[in-house]
Amino acid sequence: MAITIAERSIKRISIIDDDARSRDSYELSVEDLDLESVSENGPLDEALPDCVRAVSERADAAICDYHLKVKAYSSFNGAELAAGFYKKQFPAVLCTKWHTAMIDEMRQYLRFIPSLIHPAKLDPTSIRMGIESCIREFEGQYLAVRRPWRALVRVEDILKTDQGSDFAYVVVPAWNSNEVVKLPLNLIPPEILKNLSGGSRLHAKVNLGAAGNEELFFEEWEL
Amino acid sequence: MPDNKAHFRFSTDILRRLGEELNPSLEHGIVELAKNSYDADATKFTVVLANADKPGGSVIISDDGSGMTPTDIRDGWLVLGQSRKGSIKRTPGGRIPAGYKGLGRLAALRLGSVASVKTRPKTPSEAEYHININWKDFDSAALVEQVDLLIGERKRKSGSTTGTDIAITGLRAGVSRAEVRRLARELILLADPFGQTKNSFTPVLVAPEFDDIAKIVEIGYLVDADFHLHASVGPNGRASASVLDWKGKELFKANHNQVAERRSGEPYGCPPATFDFWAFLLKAETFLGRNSKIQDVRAWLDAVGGVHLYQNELRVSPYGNPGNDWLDINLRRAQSPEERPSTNNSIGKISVLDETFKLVQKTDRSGFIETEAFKQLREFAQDALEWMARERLIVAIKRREQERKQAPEKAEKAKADLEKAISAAPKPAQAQLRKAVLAYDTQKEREVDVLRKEVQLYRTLSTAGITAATFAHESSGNPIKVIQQSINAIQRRGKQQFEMQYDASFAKPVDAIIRSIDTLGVLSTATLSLIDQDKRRIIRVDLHHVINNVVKMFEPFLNGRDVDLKLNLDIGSPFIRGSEAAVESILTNLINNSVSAFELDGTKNRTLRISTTIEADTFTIAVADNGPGITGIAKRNIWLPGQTTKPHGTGLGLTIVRDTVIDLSGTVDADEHCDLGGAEIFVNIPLAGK
Repeated sequence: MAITIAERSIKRISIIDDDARSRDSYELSVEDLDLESVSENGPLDEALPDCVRAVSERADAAICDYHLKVKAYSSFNGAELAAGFYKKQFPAVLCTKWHTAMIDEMRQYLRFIPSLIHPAKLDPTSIRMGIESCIREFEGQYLAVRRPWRALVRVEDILKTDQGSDFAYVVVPAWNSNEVVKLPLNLIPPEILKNLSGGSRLHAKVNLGAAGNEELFFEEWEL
Repeated sequence: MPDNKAHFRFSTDILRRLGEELNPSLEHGIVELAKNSYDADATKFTVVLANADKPGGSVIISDDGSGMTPTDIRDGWLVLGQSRKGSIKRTPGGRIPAGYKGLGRLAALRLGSVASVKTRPKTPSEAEYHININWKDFDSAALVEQVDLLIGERKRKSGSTTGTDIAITGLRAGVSRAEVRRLARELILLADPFGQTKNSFTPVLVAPEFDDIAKIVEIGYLVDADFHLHASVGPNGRASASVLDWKGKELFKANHNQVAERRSGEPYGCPPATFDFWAFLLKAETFLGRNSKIQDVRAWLDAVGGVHLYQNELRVSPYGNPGNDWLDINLRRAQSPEERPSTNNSIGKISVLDETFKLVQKTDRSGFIETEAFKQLREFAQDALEWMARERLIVAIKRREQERKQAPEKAEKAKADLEKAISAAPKPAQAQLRKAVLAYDTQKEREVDVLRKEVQLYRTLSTAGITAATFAHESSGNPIKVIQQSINAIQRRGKQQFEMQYDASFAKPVDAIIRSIDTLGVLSTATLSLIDQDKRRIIRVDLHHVINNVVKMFEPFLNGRDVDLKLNLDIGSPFIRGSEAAVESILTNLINNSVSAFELDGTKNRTLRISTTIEADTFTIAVADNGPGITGIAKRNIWLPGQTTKPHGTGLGLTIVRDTVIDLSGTVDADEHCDLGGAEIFVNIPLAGK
């Protein structure tokens, strides 16, 4: 069997997770979609572009777990890989039970991850919808929660730590004027960053329709 | 031939705009005059405030610099808005010019109704030039150029040296104490409050109405600093540092790689600079035997503290001004308080030799433009402070170890001394004394034993916490995920294959597994959420927001224990300045406490009520339950560490609550049996706002 989304036929879905039992459990949903699953037993290719190419040759889409580095399975995490897939127009859903620290790490890739699914919600319907939202985005059709808008961003604080994990705490009033969003500083171009401090205001494209903090992405910064 | 040339001309109103409106502060105006004196190679710059606390008073400024010729006055001093162009030439005295645009000078001159200038140049050596600016003349003229300013010449008094005197009379408004305090601070910091510069420039403030403030200008307490950090970065960007104690003995020394550890030894891309930083312990015992008094040092630090930045020997504002913690000294201390100074107990000076002006000042004189060179300079200073903090921490740990080792020896010696003293007592009293000492020893031993166990308990719990966090990562990952996916598949396939039969045979157990997974998920979510680094930042904490989050996090857990939660939050968005972790810690421990009480008591129909009230500036969180209440322990003892009525309890939950509330300047209270029947704990915290 195959499903067709925007004239794109999906037959095989690659399952990427460093735990064999988890891969088996994901396969249950793929089977219920009447699709063929390709279990990536790993270890994955050392270089991300090689891995993206290899997986896309074996399958038409992928389900990817966030934690890929716990065992000696991969040298990159699932968010990096899902973003790599997106950039090559290969649909992928990222399965993760996010918590704050993980969102901090993932934020820089969120622009390229249209489909973020909590493990409890991963089922044939959500997989299909996730793949569809990727393919639609490749064609420029964004869901309301993903469409980027030019928005004012106010910097509340910039925190540099000894561990080198540096963050900006910002508010996007057009999204939620009461919620502070934490961004890794490497998301902001250095030439703009050098002029920023607490209280600075600037513009960026932000998906203002995002339901939660964990879905927000930022791009095309302007001072 | 008709004259077809035209020029911009300025209305006299522009003088008010440029003077009073653009440079509104007294100190900035006078500091610009001081910079004129500095560029004229003056060694002394005196500001006299005469009856200046009232309108009509005067400000008299004088220096012993090289004075001005009529050309200097006409083409320099009276020209406003001129900036430095081309290469920078040192003054005849070898100073790098401070540079100015003349706008601050205008502001200073316009403080009064008349400004009179007398100046005596080097040549001609007999002459004194004078000029009077009467601002009333400008009020009655339409254009600036319509008012003639005449430069007069007269023979200077015999014995008078070169220099310039400016008298600003008929002050439009009285000068306030706050302004004099700021002026004093600016003057102290302008050139050389640290007594290190050879090319010295001494500002003097004479202000009879504000004598106490003027005195602070003369005194310094650097010799009393407990730690003196001296760091430097050379033209090649390589740094070195050392720390001396208050006797001048070197404590620590670092090479470039040690200072630049955080940047893996990469050189600093800033102009050559030296950084001197003096940290004071400000404890009564450290001041014993010293000449200065702790309260005097505090007042002095209050007046001049902060890390000040000097470019080519002249201070650049606002670095080190009150509230300007440009090196994030207080933030670093908040993140890791041990052995770190704050801006209240330290003073510092960064001197940058910047002949090519790599650091560029903003036009409004509010500091440097944040160029890469400036950022690198800041990083150098922050790295030097970090290095000092690391070294001090290592010493502190060693000191603690040493004290721990020496404690038994010292106790033995004290015991021997005591025994000697007892032996010297009259024979009949000796037995009694020995008995009393033995009783005391036994009691003390017990107390030490309790403390030792308590410390061990904290360590064990910390270890348990670290382990729980590690396991939380694991359990939030694979096992729960596999169960979730598998049970979802069973549910999906069961409904499809068995249709009606599914609901009758499988729905209940499958739903039970799904609910249990949710409950299990709380364990990992709650643990990971509690250790979130961001929650320990000191920020504005919205109390109701945090309470709602904690309740949401605990919901599946409470459902799993048949606890009916009632949440009654007062109206409003009360907030405090503190950490989210502190508020979470209070509420989490109180909820845990109630849940344990239910379990111990076997309470049926369990009710947990969390309510908040806002009265004046106090926020109260009350956590009540219908458990057994406070029994088997006195109410006042429930806060003590290790006091518990639960068989395997730690007795630390309420201690942590109390300690955390004290940290937030709050109070705790308890009701043994509230209206629900069980205990009710009250936490009162002062609000920052609502």
